Amino acid sequence: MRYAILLCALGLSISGCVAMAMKMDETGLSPDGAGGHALLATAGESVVPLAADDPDELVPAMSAVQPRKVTYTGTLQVAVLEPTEAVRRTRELTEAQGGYMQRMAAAAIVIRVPAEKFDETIAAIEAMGMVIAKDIVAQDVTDQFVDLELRLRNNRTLLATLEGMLARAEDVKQALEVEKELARVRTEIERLEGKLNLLLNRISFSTISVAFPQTAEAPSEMRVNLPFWWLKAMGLKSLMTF
Amino acid sequence: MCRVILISCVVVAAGLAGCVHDFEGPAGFVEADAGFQFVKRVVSADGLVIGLRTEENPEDGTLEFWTTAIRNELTDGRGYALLDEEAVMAANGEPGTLMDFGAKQGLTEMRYMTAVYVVGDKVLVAEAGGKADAFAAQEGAIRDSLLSVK
Repeated sequence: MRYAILLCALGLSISGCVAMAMKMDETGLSPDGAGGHALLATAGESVVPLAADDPDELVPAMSAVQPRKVTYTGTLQVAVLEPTEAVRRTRELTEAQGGYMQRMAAAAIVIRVPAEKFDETIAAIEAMGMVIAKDIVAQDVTDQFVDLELRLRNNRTLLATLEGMLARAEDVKQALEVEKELARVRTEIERLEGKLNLLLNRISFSTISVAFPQTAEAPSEMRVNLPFWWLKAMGLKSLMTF
Repeated sequence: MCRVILISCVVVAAGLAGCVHDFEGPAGFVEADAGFQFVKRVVSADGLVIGLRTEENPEDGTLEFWTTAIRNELTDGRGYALLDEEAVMAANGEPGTLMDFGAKQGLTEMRYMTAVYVVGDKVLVAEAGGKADAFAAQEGAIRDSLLSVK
């Protein structure tokens, strides 16, 4: 019973730590002064690990060094003469940029490119034809990132504490109670690690969705046709067709 | 009598031979099917093609007339951009005009070069084309080929 109370108290203490850290985060890590320019300036920056190992030092250290975490998503509609060729070129471009294709159709493709190559890739795709629509969304996920980091760190601290308690358990009952709590904390750590990795991937790789509607040939002006058939036949098509 | 016929045949054949126009293909090109539009076509392994067409020249059809007609035909709504134009001299001594065009086929950059000459009642048009990068690699030889018309 005493162990159960101790475990509950430990859990509450950890939760309190997270809550306090979150409050600090709201005031210290998300300054309203950091507007759109600051977000763009830190686009694609790598994730900096927290500076302090000591949980007590955690919040001040984070508020001092934590950079903004931003995910970028682009949606483009580019009219081209040959959509299939444009999709193929986009895939080649993606691979050259160190990215990968996520989904592909005859006239559309969804790609993921390293965040630092986002602008360059968008410009290269735009150059393939006539841009009909363009939508770029930047989402600040700093709060989400800090929250996950804190929860993960605190759960790891709790895990270490529980492991210590397990080693000092006086009887089987106490050991079982600690084991049960250990299993819960381990599961929570795995869940948080998964979410954090997913978020890191969204920060590191930007998503670009492109649709390539086919454009018609530019209509020619009204013009007089000279009465010499072979003039019309001149050009690459006749020359290179066998 | 037979001798007269033979001499006549030789004269006619020589006359016909004089009317056949030709050009020298660059090294590495091989002769291909000329089709009904061309008198000769040669191709390279990387897809460059050079051809020569001979067409009837109406009375008073000058080099200036055909140069303008071809330039307008290609640049007015056909998607060709004139890169360069210069007065040249063919191997047979006839003055001509060499025109260099750029074009896009889908996303591929293409080049198209043509030389036009007026020889009596014929208009000789030598054409060359292919992907821009391959074309650029052999531009000098292609130009010489278009000027080798006789």
